[in-house]
Amino acid sequence: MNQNETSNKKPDQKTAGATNGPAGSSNETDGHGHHHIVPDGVALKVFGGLICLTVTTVVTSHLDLGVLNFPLAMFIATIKALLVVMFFMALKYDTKENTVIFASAFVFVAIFFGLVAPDIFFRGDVYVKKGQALIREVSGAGSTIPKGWISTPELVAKGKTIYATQCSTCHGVEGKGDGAAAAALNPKPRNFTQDAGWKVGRKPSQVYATLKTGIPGSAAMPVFGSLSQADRWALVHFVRSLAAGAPEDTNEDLAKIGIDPANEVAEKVAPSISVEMAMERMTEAPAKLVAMSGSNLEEGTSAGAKLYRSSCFSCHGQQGSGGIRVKNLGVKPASWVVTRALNETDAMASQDKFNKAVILGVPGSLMPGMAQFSATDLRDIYQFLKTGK
Amino acid sequence: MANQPVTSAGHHHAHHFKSADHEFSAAKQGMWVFLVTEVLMIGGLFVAYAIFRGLYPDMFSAAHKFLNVKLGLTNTIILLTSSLTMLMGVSSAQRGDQKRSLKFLAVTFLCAIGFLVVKYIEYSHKFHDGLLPGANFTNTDPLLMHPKTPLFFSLYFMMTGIHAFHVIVGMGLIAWIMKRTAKGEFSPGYYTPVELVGFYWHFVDLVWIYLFPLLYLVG
Amino acid sequence: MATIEKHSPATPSGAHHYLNHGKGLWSWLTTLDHKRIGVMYLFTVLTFFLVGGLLAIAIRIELFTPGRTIMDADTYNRVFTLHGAIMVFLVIIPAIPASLGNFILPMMLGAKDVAFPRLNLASYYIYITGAVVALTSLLFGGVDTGWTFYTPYSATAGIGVVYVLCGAFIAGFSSILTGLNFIVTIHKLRAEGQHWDRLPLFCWALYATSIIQVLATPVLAITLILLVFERLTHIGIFDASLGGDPILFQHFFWFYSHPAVYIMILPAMGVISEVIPVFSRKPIFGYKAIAWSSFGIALLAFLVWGHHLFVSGQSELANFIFSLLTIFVAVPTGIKVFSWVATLYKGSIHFKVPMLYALGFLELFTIGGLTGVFLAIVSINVHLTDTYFVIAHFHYVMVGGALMAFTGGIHYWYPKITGRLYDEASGVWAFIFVIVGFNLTFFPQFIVGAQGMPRRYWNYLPEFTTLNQLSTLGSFLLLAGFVWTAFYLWRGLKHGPLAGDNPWNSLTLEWQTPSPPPHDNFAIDPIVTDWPYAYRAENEK
Repeated sequence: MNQNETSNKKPDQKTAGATNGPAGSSNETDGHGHHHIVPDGVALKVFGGLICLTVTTVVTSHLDLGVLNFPLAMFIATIKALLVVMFFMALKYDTKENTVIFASAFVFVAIFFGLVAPDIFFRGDVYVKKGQALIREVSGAGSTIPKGWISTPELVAKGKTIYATQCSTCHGVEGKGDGAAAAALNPKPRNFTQDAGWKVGRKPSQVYATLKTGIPGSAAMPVFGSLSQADRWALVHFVRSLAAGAPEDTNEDLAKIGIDPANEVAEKVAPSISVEMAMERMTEAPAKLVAMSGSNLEEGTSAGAKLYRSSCFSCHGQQGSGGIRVKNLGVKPASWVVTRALNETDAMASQDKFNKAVILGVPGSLMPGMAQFSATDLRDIYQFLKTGK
Repeated sequence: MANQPVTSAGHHHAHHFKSADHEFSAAKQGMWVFLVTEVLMIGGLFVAYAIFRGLYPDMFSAAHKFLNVKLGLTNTIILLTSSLTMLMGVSSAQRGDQKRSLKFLAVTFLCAIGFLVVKYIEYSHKFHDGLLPGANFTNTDPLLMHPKTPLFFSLYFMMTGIHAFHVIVGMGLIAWIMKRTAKGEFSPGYYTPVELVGFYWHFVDLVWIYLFPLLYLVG
Repeated sequence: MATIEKHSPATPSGAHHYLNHGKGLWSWLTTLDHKRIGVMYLFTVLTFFLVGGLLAIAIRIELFTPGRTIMDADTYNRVFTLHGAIMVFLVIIPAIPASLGNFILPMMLGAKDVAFPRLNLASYYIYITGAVVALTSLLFGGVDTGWTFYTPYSATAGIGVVYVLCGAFIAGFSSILTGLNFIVTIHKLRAEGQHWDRLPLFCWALYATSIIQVLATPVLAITLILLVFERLTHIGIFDASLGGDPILFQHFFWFYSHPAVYIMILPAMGVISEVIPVFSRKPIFGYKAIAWSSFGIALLAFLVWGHHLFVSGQSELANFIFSLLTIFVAVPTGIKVFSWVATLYKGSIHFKVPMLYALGFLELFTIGGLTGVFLAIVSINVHLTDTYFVIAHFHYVMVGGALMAFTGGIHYWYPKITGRLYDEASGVWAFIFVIVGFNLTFFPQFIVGAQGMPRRYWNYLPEFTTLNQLSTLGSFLLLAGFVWTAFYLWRGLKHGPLAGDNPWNSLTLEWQTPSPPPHDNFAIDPIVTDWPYAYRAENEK
């Protein structure tokens, strides 16, 4: 029952050694290998084949076969390789074991490539999905409105709300181009209450285009590419309503932005997003803009409240609670900061500190110096922030 | 010499083998296993090549034009020829014709030298033109402005460099075999080292068969 | 030299065997005898295990308290890097195949030696050379990249890295040559009648291991070459600033290093497959299943490396594919575990030291393996990666698995290698220290890891202190167990009772020849007529 040994066999055996027959033949004996001699004739023929194939591959590489060039070259190379392996290395006449052994190497190289490829060539697929979601959001249903180029009171009202969060920082609460951030800008932002000076023009199509593509050469008027089509039209109509006498579009004007009013064909929204917006949205979780309840803009009649509303609100939010995303203007690539709650800052510790922060600004931050306030103004604003009145 | 019966006479095989044939077949299998390891090692470089070519096909197309196809073709012909002469050298040894074996092994050796000379010419052109790997790349040809171009040359130098290293090792092995042949150590009963060095040399040729189109004929 | 002889009980003092065939240090250093080479590997591996183990103790002492205990953070980084590199490349990869495998495999096959004895000796010296080169890095400030050498840090860190890279490169060839040798040996040198379906499972395990060694290690070689050239000539393949991809390095590295862990565990499983039938006096359950599952594991080993890259920035698609494939690895592994347990069932269990280690293996490897399945799931992995959970997982499988089996195998084949028996009582007590110490060291690490303690950090949050202290305490128990083991095994060499040819009454071929074996293993060429697991319980001792 054991794996046992007997004394029948002698240690040194003479096997029926593989003998060589006439040229070109080989025989397999007791599985112990071959002594195949490659005849000269075969060698020369194979060599000839190899040279021919080499010439072929060079010639075909000069032909433009499009996507077939590469597979063809590899196919020819593989034929050559097989000729070398089968005949020069005599694998054809060798044991099947050795063939399996050698072939397996290539299988594993293929596995190596085959499983690295799903990583390398599908990298950024997470970002592709995010980008697609973004595009859907910007150009999806519900964010477009039919005939947006026609002004309605609803659109104007909507535009007013959007304006308060997106535009008042620079263009001012009343559209006079005197927003809090305007202090840092030269030239100043457009004053919408005047008819003069609109760089691109006051026609709806022109305002729309400005919103969509920004003003080239202006570091300040950025591309508000993240606005949906509906939002953009709303802003267009609101902004135009701030001063009388706004010119209207002709069909040619509308055609310039891709609209055919006769056939009610709206502007085609191309599924693309600007690099800036992509970078902004896909690399950081956008801070939620503080909800603009319309009431906040009307409530609060104290002097401090009024001052705060016109000069501070758009960056510092409701009663100094912060959470507003403020763009660092004039800086490329674009960067943003989110304002903190004011009562967490040193500036609110005392009237003196507050005054200093407002008048001199806070170095190293985006808080600009605002020297237009009198001592009374500063006291009122401070009071408002501290007490809500 | 005509084909002679191969027997285990005249060769003392190691004690743990049953016969010279047994030893020979084990040695041959060992060589195939060794070649598997070489395939996997070089295969890693081929995978890197495939990755970067897949990512930057236009760059590869542009960069490869700065390789000299004529020289590459010359080297291909040289290596194929050397494979043929190597084979003749082996079959001569198998038949016991030592003089013929020596002649062919010598030609193979010379082919290897030729290959390295051509390689040297190619490399010195590259050095001269600043077509060097990675951070050493200094060429300013507008056709090579793709930012990833240095990678092509990194792959080129690594792949052909490691290949050339194997050619040099092969030359050493051929010289060793030639010395032993001259001493009469091989016979139809024992020529294992000759055949196995032959395998090694054919494998070096095999790698070049793929390197040539992949590097020089990207098209 | 013996011709035809009956076997007589081993009398090491009088008989002629491999230990006294050729005298003097030179005869050992130039030996072509696989048994002597195996013994040399054994001593060297155990020496490096001691070094790596002391580094581990240093780590555990440092982690006894948060903040600095005995070393600063930079030193700590160097300590755990060296610990990992030594343990992986110089200890566990060669441990079973190069020492026990070299000694036992030819004998189990009925052969006189491995196919290429000179390559065998060369592989030993290559291993030593690689180790020396790697350790030279200590003269140049050591290495603090972690044993995984991730780019870009490894491409820019101190010069010591180059020495470890070169050392690992050189040592890799030792592994390749061992694998190559074993494959050809198993194919070509089986004795007459040693058909594939009679091959002992240790041979099957070594066969699968050797295939992995031959296929995977060359990719490590090219990876290390590329990294060295990256450092020397800035080829940029792994450097993002030059257009390359640092994650590609991770792919290259883990394409070897994941199969490497199966190089570590497959031979261990082979040892277990030998020990359990012998000490249950029962045929192994599921012989074919265990043999085939070794190949299943070997194949799957090459398909799953991306699970080390789940949080590296790899694509979602690749994450999905690798997660799915990794979960499959549990299947052939489970087949083995169930087969071993089924072998024990209704067996006549002899709680000898080798069996104790085999049972310890079952417990520890099962825990380690199951936690591997947790880590295979991407959504869990993102929380547990780079925490102590991972450390506990791989120590359970590598130490609790491979090292337990290695120790068990040393005890099992000790009589064959030395001709003597060790002290059984010491063995049992040392085992208790080892198993208790091991669990105490590493189980708390699952907990702190799941709670968020990061790995490779010199410091940790105060709330992890208690469990870390328990872990350190456990490590001292473990150390005591291993030191004691070394002591009584050493003692047994001179003072142990003579073992006789086959003290365990095992049926495999290596036991059918004297202990210690003669130079040529068998007096006469063996002929195999039976399956090696045909045990019958009642009549055997």
